[in-house]
Amino acid sequence: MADAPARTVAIEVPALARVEGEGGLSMRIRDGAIESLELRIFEPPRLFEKLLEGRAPDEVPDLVARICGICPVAYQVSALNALESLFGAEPGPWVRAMRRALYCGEWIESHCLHIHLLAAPDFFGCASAIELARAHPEPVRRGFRLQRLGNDLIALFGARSVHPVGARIGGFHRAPAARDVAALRERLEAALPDAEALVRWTAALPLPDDPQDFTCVALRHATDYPIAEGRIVSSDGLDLEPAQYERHFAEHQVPHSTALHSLLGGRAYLVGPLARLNLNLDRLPGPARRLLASTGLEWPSRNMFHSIVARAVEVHVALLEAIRLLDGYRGAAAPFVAARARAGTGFGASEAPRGLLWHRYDVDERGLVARARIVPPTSQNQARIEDDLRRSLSAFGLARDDEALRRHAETVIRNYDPCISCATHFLRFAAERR
Amino acid sequence: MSAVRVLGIGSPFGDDQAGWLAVRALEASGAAAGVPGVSLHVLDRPGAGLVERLLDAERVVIVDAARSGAAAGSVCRIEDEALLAREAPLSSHGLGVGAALALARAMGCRAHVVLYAIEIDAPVPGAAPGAAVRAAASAVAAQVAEEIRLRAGERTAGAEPSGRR
Repeated sequence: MADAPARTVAIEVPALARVEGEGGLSMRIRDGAIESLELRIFEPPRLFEKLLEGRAPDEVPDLVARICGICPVAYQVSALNALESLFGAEPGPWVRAMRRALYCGEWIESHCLHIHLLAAPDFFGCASAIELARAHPEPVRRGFRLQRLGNDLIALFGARSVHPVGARIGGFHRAPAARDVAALRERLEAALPDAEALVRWTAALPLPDDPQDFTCVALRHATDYPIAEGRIVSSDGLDLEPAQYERHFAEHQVPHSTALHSLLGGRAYLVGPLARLNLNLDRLPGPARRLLASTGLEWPSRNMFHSIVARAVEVHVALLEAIRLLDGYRGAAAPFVAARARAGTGFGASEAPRGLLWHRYDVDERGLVARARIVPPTSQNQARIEDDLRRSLSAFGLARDDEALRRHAETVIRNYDPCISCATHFLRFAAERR
Repeated sequence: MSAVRVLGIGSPFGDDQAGWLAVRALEASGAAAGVPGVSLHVLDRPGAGLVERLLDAERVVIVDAARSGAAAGSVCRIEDEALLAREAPLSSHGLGVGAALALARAMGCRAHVVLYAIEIDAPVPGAAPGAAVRAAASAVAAQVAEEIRLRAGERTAGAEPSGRR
């Protein structure tokens, strides 16, 4: 094969399509090698951490739900974990189970949205979900059926599916009626064949085979697949309480992004469904484990493109778990425990659909939030996405035409399901007063 | 399969309740009560969930708030293909009615879709809807009631044995 001719190419993707929020990509190739590559996140900072300062802790769950329309429950649960641990409020088994069921709804809706509307068109050579739906209507219909179930599960506990308002410190504002729970549980059970078919469908997709080395980071729960709580573990043997996160993970600013980059021991790492599944295969419910084994794919996987399969597996897990948790449901006379604010620092983590979501709140002597720090999954994945792009595009062949390179780069980025709107909430802010 | 599905879309913020007000007025009027296959829903922003609600209905009436620069309380009625989005959405955060309809059509949806867009002023958290929006919501409810009445009449006529004239 002849050497690629020496050339300098600038690939610009001014606005990435089919990702959540606004970002772009700049890449410069000189003489057959990538000279520079930047995942540019230019969505304006959204100031959420500053907005939380001076607020009462009981306002926090509703405020942080506004960070994302796709994964508001994740923001609420990480905040609740942090604040409840600080206030010494133990919400008890009923609240924990219902919180996990609520979270399952978010996994189902977010994953189905990403699989069908954002990622799958890439693997069928379709430019959009509309094109995919025209060519393969039944899988897309199935995706929407499942997604609606997820939304309905969120609305059951949160009164609405976008920015739900049901969660509060110590539990829920109200317990759903038993007849509503029973009706939804029946629909969840009826949808299991759809979820199983989804796993088989994603496992049969013509995904690129591109094994890579990366460090996986996810929560780990004592007995269950990690969703709403757990310790932070990595494929390199890390095992931490959420309170120890800052000792190992460091965020830094880069000029081309309004979202912070996060590194573990100075290196990029992966959070999200693939990392979660790789680290928690032994925590899968039996039916999900058997289904995954029947696909013939090898796990843990080093192929980043298996993320779409991991998402489908987690839709199945979320259905199984929600069915289990809502079985024999009884309402609670008091769906929350009382909590009293006290000064100090609280840490909390949960597994947002896109990966580990870590929160820290400093509460002052007046019982108000003095400082908040929120590290969303997309910030954590940014450095990994850039590493992956450098590697994947080189393997794909830098001599290919610009359009092919652009398309492949977009596929690589979309595979992480980046939520740019979530990631750009930070602001390093210093007021100068005279 | 719903014969007529009416979706009032909005949020609790001031004028943005327009779609909800219209559906509640329709419910209070009793125009849909007892009409087979007619269902009324109030929804927060359904986003991609709208697609699923278009797939299994013969006729979908959506009432939503709009801001085009016209006076608050103005009503615009748009039908079917005029609603279709010309381009695929860039992000699922911004999936609107047009993109949802385009997706549903791609999957074989044949529903007749009507959108009533009620012009509103900037939505204000905690505020009550303005008088012009409340009046427009009532007027839209009356129009939708008439559509339901006509549709029910068509279905009854269509259900008659072919030999009867």
